[in-house]
Amino acid sequence: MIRKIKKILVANRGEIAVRIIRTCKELGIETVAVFSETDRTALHVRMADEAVALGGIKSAESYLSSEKLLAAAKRTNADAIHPGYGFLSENATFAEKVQNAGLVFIGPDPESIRLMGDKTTARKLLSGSRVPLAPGTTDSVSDVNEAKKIAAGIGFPVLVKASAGGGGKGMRIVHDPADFEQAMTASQNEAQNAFGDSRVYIEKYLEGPRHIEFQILADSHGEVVHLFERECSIQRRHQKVVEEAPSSVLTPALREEMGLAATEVARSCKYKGAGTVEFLLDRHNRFYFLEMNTRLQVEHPVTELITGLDLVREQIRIAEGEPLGFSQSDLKPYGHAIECRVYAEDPMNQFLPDTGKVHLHRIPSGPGIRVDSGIVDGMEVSVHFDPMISKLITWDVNRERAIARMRRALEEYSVSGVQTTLPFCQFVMNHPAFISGKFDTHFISDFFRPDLLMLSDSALISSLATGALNAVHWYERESDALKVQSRSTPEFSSAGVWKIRRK
Amino acid sequence: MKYTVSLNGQEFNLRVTGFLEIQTDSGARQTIDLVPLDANRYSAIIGTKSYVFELFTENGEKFLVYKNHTLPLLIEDEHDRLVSHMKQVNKDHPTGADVKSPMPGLISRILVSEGEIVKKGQAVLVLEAMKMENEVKSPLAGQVSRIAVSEKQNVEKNDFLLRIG
Repeated sequence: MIRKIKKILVANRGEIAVRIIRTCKELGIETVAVFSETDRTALHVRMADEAVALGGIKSAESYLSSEKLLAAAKRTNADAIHPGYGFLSENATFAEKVQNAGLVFIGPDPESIRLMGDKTTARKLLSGSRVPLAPGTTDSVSDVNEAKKIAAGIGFPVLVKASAGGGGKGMRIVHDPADFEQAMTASQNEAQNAFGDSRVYIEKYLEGPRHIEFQILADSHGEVVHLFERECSIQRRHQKVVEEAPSSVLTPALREEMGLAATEVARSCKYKGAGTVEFLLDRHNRFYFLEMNTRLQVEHPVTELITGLDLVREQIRIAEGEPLGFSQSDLKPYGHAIECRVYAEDPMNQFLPDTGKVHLHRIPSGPGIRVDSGIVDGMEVSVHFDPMISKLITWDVNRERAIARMRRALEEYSVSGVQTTLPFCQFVMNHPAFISGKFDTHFISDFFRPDLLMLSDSALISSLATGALNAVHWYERESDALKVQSRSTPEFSSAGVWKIRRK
Repeated sequence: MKYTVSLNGQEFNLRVTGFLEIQTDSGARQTIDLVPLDANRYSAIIGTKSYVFELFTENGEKFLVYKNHTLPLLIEDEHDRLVSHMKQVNKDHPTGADVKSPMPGLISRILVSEGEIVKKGQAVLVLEAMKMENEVKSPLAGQVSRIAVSEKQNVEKNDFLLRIG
């Protein structure tokens, strides 16, 4: 049965809300944005046809409130809700409430979310299948002594992971049994804060693995295809910073084998919609199921660029009950795509989140460039939400050219007001290990040191020193004190001072 | 006017001899084409080479940003130079350091107590921000002489947390 969607409420914020609204506009579907108190002027609110205030500042009072979201949908007569990623996107109870309210939840059925959302349930479900699992527990553990025994049995190093987890939140690596207790407590606390569920489980930690995931599309008529892989091995704090498609290590045979396993995972939970099956690939090209994310991924654009598909459009079509209209043999990847995530974080200082006002955000453009961003000049990056500012994606016919294009785009990108991961991404694009494709999830600990972000070209530094001195001497001098304007007070811009002096 | 410019650890002795004109140690004079843009950014043409850079200050220290690289910048005239030289004499023998909050957040755990001896790089407390637990580390080895915060306390960026030494 096909049920055409006319109006979608986007239960999210930031770049992903903007991303979803864009496709809706192209499809002629009306859009409803929702916003917390601090997001009144955000881009997604400006772009949507309608906008409803949720109130509240913290996510628990706004984007995580299913009651407020459903009330907003009712008030605006929306017939579907798109959850984006994060927030309530993998919350089965929310999906159920949406369906019970007579609305379409753009995503899988609550039962699929429940099966895959709980990592231990997923491991149990797949333990009898042909999908390979990493050694570990299929149940969560709460007693620290018992957990310690299990860890010793598996053999250190081990991972303590949140059962309800994802995105690296609530995950800890433990190399030394002496650190186990503290790691488990930290993991439980983080899991409780992030997911409202403190359960954790233990899994064998693989040395030097690569993170390879497969994009899945499944319709409500039983067709399941994969849209090839994404390589997401460049991570900090177990969270991805650089992703690409295709991976430089998969042979066609391995791609087919992993793709088949991925579709099997999707079938096992009667999946419907767009989802991602994550694997770890070890040094001997053995792969292990990590988890399935039952939602759109942050890094979905790289898949869109090599397949020519709009994944949000496919999600909506599937939710309407339409058949995919293509099968695995119709799909061929073309070219190479890379994504760099621009986070408000300081790579010079352990990637700690930075907050403040982004008073300048100049994005690159030109051939093969895509920027998905939810930020506008003057917007605050606050402590209440994820510090991602945007995603920069480049495409070209092969990997070498996609990297060259990304280098060019990163140089064009300018953010002022907060520290960002941009210089780190530049470091990655110029690093021999990344260029050769010989790297794993330890890329940062293996190759990165903050001092490598400094410039070494002394002729260039000499020229910049000359420029800086003249800028300060002629345009920014106030009385006798040499003052460079503070980044946090852009209203006293140097250009303003200059104009006054010219009179 | 004579200046010492230190950028990215490299030092340059430069004299401003006229509007947008400087003289280097070797006596060569150079005029540059410099135009302010938006948000503390400048466009400079030196010879025929074109550069865009940004200047900003944070906690009283200056920085220059070029193609997303943030470089520490220090510009001193002769008077500044004398003052900083005297300060440096004291700075060469650091006896302690204030640990400040790197970002706004919640103190979730304090891992040390007053009087405790800590190593350089040792985690002293855990700060929760953006749903992540971040360890704040000691910048040097020494004794924790004062803890100014308590667990479950909210802190702002650059708030004084504790003192080593």
